[in-house]
Amino acid sequence: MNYKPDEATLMAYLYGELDAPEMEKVRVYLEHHPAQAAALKDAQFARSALQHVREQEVIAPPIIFDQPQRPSRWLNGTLKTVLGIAASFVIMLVAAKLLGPDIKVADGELRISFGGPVSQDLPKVAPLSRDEVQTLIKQSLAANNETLQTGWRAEQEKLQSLVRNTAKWNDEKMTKLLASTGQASTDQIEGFVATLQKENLKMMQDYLSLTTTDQKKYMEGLLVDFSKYLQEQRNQDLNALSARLANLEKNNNQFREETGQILATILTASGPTTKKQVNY
Amino acid sequence: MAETLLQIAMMHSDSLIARAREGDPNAQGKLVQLWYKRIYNFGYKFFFDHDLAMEVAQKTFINMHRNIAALQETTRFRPWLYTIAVNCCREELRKRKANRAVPLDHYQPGVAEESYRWEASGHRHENPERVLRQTELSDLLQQCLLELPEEQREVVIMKEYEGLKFREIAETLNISENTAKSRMYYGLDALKKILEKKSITKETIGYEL
Repeated sequence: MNYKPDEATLMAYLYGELDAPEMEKVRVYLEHHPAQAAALKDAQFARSALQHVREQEVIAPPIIFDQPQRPSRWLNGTLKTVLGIAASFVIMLVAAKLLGPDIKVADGELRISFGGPVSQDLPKVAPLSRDEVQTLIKQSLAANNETLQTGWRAEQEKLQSLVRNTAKWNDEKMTKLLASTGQASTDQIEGFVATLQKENLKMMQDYLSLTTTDQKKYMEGLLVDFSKYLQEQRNQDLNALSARLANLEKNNNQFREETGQILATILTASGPTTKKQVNY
Repeated sequence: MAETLLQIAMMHSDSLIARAREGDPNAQGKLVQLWYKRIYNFGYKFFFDHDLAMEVAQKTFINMHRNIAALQETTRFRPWLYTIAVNCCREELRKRKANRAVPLDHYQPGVAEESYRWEASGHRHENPERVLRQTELSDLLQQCLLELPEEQREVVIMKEYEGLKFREIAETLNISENTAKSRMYYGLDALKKILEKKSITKETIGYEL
């Protein structure tokens, strides 16, 4: 038996949505396939569990629906378009009646106008000959040249006048500038000399005051140094004197010892009869 | 009995649908009264959330009012209405994913909320302990349903709770009938695994083969 129902068929079998022959086939299949039958029992158990979910009781709230507005025939889009075209046509007719239309089709051109044709008559002029045209051109050129020369002369005069005025103005400015410069230099020199004098005087005063002070300090230093020199000299003299005295005493002691030795020698040489004690 | 009458009324509302298509507000209002509970429950089982279910139901009937004139055949009203409901659910789901906001009562169901559900349950005269157990089981199973992928959940709810045939589900979701059946198959398979994970056995629900 090669029949094997798919998942969809099994679900249809579970919910009884198969026709009778198909139901029988699945039933026989499940009898021979206990594993599939067990799986289907599990599905049936899940279904029965779902039946324990309670239904919620609820009262429908009052919902009021507005009466839908039926679309007006006058608001119908097609009707509006047709009415619009008709109204435009009527307006055109009225305008034509009042102003008088003039519609022309000529040379591939459509012309619609109102209020009658406008007169466009131009004065007729006889055609000019070649010489007349050349004469007109020459006259025009001559007039043009004259106008240009007149204008050029006027411009030149204006420029010359402007140059002259500018030169005159510059001279005046230079003179004023030089005069003011000379005056300014005299005043500056006087000011400079006065400043120099003041500075010199101040420097001399500072110098003198500084030299006096320095001299005083030098003299004081010198006196101090001289007293130190005298003290030092005195100390050196004292040291020399004490050294000489020590030397003299030392020589004296040596001389006495030598004298004592000489006397002892003499006494030893002369014998034991005469015994003389020498005391110094 | 009332449920049966309601279902009969829903099944035989062709003339009502025809009048609603012509713009009769009374007929549209009656359709809302007939179908509100079904659409609300569809939304509730899809989201397990009262507010979202109300939102979905409201939007579904507003869309019905706007578009019912375009409905070609009155016999296709049921899948057409569920198509609108599914689209509204998907829209709300997208919004929720974008917002990433979770209501507080998802974490701590309030006492007042439970009390309201108890009052509204219509089982006040039954054994309270039994009713509480049933409510808890219902919520637990609803949580299991919520764990299903969106596509499988739609099919399972339509088949198990709304009683649509696979052909109608396929028409509603604009898929083939075999695809609808396959989604159902894998939906039930996944549901069985979720039940096992939550230790919901045949004994728990008093299942008898």
